[in-house]
Amino acid sequence: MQHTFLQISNTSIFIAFILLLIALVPLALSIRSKHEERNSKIAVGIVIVAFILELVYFAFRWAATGHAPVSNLFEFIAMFSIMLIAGYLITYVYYKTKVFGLFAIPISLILLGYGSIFSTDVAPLIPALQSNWLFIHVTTVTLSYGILSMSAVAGFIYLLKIIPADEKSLRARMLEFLMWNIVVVFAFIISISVMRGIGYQNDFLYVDQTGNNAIAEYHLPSLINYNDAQAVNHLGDNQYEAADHFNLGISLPPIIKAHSLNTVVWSIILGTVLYGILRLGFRRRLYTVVKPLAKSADLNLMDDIGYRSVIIGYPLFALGGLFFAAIWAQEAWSRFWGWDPKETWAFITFMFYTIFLHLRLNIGYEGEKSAWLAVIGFLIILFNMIAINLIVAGLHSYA
Amino acid sequence: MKKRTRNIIRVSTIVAIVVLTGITLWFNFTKDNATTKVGDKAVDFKLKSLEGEEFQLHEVTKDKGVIINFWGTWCKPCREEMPDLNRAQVDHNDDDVIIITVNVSEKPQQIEQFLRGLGEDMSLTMLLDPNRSVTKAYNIGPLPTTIAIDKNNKIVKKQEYQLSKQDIESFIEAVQE
Amino acid sequence: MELKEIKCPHCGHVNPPGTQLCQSCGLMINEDYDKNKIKDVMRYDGSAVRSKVKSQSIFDKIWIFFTSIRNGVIIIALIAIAASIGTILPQQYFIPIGVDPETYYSDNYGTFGLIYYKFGFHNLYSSWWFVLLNAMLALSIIAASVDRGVPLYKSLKNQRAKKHPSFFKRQRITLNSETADSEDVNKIIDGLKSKRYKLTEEGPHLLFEKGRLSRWGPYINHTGLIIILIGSMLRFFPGMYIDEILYVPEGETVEVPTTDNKYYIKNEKFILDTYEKDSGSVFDKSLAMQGDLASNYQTNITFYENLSSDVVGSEPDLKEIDTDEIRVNHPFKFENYDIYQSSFDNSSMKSMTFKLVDKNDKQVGEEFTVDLKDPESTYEIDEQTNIELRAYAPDFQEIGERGELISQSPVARNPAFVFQVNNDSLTTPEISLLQIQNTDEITPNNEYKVKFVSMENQIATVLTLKKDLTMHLIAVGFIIFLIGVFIGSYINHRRIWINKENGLSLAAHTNKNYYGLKKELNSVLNENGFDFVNDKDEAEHDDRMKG
Repeated sequence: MQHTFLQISNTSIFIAFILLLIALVPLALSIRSKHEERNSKIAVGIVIVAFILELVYFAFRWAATGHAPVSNLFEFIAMFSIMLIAGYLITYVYYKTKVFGLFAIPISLILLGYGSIFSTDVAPLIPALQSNWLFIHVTTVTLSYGILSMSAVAGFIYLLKIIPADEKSLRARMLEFLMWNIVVVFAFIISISVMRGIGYQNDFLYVDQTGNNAIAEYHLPSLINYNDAQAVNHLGDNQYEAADHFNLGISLPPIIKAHSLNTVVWSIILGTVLYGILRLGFRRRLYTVVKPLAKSADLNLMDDIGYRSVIIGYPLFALGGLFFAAIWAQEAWSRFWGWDPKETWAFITFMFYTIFLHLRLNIGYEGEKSAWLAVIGFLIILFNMIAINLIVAGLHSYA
Repeated sequence: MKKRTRNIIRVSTIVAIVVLTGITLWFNFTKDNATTKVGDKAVDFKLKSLEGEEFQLHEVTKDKGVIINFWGTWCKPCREEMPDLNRAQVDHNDDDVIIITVNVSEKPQQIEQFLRGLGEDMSLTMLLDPNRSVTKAYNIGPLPTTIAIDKNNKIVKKQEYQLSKQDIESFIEAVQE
Repeated sequence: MELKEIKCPHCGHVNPPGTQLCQSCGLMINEDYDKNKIKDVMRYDGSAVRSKVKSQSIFDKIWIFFTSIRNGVIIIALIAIAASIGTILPQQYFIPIGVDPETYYSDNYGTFGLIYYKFGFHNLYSSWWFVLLNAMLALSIIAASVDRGVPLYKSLKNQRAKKHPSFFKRQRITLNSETADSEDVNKIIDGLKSKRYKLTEEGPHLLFEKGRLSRWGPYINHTGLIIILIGSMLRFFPGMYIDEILYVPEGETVEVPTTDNKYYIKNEKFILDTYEKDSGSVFDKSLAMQGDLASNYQTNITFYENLSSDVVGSEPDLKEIDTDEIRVNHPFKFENYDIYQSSFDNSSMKSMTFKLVDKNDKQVGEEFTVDLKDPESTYEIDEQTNIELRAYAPDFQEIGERGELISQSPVARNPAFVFQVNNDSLTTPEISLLQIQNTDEITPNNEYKVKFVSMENQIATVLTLKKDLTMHLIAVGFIIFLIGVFIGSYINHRRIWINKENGLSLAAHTNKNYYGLKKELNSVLNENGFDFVNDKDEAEHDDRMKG
């Protein structure tokens, strides 16, 4: 029975992914064509169906495992991705913006694609995670992330519209740098999927931080590896034999997850190559390619959405990301705040949005300044989610 | 707001914050230096020796200065300095100094095995601290650590890590002053 | 710099020095304010934000420095950056127990690690300069709040419904209709009342207000923050916060630290449950890929009080006062302390069982078990045979100069034994050295061999002893902070002034969400045949769009 639930859950989210992809078509059309209203209604309709399917994914996965599906990295990223769609729908209901979806939905999809790189298997909960607070904390924090991210979407649209295509300025270069980042994430998802698809896996034996032997699975050729890592082949069960896998030889102590860092480095290399190809193909900066999509956006509205999503999301983040997290940490680890990397970066995210609000409300940082801040805030959230989980090993890391 | 009220608020807030911060920093500093230092009072303790006899610090310090060496059989410098400590005890048997060793956490089997290997007659009083209670009470960090306690139960010398023969002599001098 | 109070030329009200808009009628009475710093004069209702003094003492100078929001933001940014530095390498709290920090950081992270350590970054969050930054944050919060909150409170408490026409013009949202008749205007008044606005009337001057609580949000949340900072500060005070690790092997009793030798705890039994693999559940796939995954672990304890108050090291006189099963998320409580189940350690061994076999591999006599913490010197095998333990090292490192076994720690992780077999039929006893998976004969051509049978692991529970008197204070502070933030963010303070002397003259202000205010106003106005309100910002925006 549980297996059926799991299957329904996996299928639901897969279909949702496809539907969201499809929804982009009428969404794009609604901006430029004559049948504006009809197209945008169709688009939103599809998005709502996709969102419901994502809720089905959530419910059935819960039923299959007996606990809320927020306990590993994939589940967390999936949750964040779903909350982005929720955030978009809330924004749509309130402001009826059309352009918004064209940017919010792809970001949600990229995130979901990124999340599915990680183990999508269900695992039972270790004792520290067996608590109702798991669900309460993670749901609230991802909801707040979803809402706060809307400010970054609005900010991004604002910047796309307001920065001229041929301007040679710092801000134009920063915007192009953002585009490069997006290309890198793309390249990462594609390269990992391809490597997995062809079954590329090289194992390495190393000694982890606690002194135990561990196996690192490399899905991309090893450039960076652990100190004294030994290439091995898996013979089955716990049997390994020495092997000769490609290893460039850069070595790091086990506090850094070398195989994750390796992936990051590969993504940057491949992403930059892809970026170069795109630049050559389009013969101009990539943001100028996307810029026309933002043409019909209302700057004041984008600014307003940017501000309001923060003013609504910030208290939720304080509640879910700090308060609930502290309650749960106290219960599970007997210390409600320990300055571990994940907690500290949640704190930094909190401080950042505090600065955002003070600058905006008291020092008048509106418009473009606010848009940049909103985008940076989103990057900090991503850093917390990605870098801290993957590269820094520790108590709080998921993967 | 009235000038006087404003002044009171400003001054008292600033002073309060400065004072509280100062107190906090002071606590922070002193916490870091929680290890026993020269000049501290030597906490009284009671331990059993290898032969099963009871030994209480403050009873002994009534007549003699005490040098305590915290050690373990697994600790190489501890093993190396043991013969020197033994010889020093023999040389100063008539003085009002006594050298005792406190073994941290081990059972008699390992200690006896080690002493058999040494092949000497032990003149040192060998105490056992199987629960580490004395080791913790004296905030001992690395092994070996040697402490000299005078007849007023005051710590007059402390050295971490291995002792040379000169080091041992200076301990004996320090404790006799 | 203003010293004098300002008397409004229009209504005669006497205003505190520095006020921009008359507290009574709203006329601009003081243009001489820093327009770069105060962009929206309505932010604090036109009241004087900073009380300036003629002769500034050092206290005044410090105070004024900390009232600046720009400086406050810089302090917040510095704290955030400092916090991020602490995540580059693990803090001392997270490195393995018992390891010398300096060695750990330089061994694992090289020169960078050593520098990190020397700067004190490994204990960043209790370093003096981090404490100092937070103290400055506290001062900044207090100074900025007092300097703005008090005038704002006075201004809102004493506000009048009658406002000077220039006040109306100054507002972002306005509407004028000289041709409006009183009936329609009254319908608007009813419409607004139905939207839960509170009405204050002074003849033809009306003030509709709701959500004033929203303005106090920031001051409430700032109060919460100060409480949190006080709570955090108290952590450094002795006795307020204790966080110790208790390592208790199964079957042993240890003293509970920081209780002055008063309490002892015994690990009666440690229970570890793991998830079943291959049970046909949905979890099989992920469980197969890793070692055993703990589903539950707990320590069954007995808690004792030590009735003897003898000196350190002496035998305690224990009286049992409680028993409990400590599981993850379910601590044992006594006095102000909690004892949590943190983790466990089964990396050391408790005992090893051996058997003696002869040349034909046939077992001789009984098996014997060596207690690795406290081994015997002789083991009886049968009536003619015994085995002496000549030497033993719990964590075998090497053989010493005099042939002795050298151990690198007192923990039984890698035991080695020198066994001597004494048998009536042997002329000379046989000696061999046994390690894990390796036997060396010391006497040549032994008839008998000692063989390894089994091993029992030593399970030790790792408990955390916590006492935290600051936790509840910090929790209360945070709750107050949250209340303040929610009030400040989710409620809007909206005010609508109406002068119905000549038709309808309307102005509106909100502390945020003009979009919502306009929507609300427009719905009431439209219902009663009026136009949409004018929004100054929109007009500017349209101009900008054209350009």
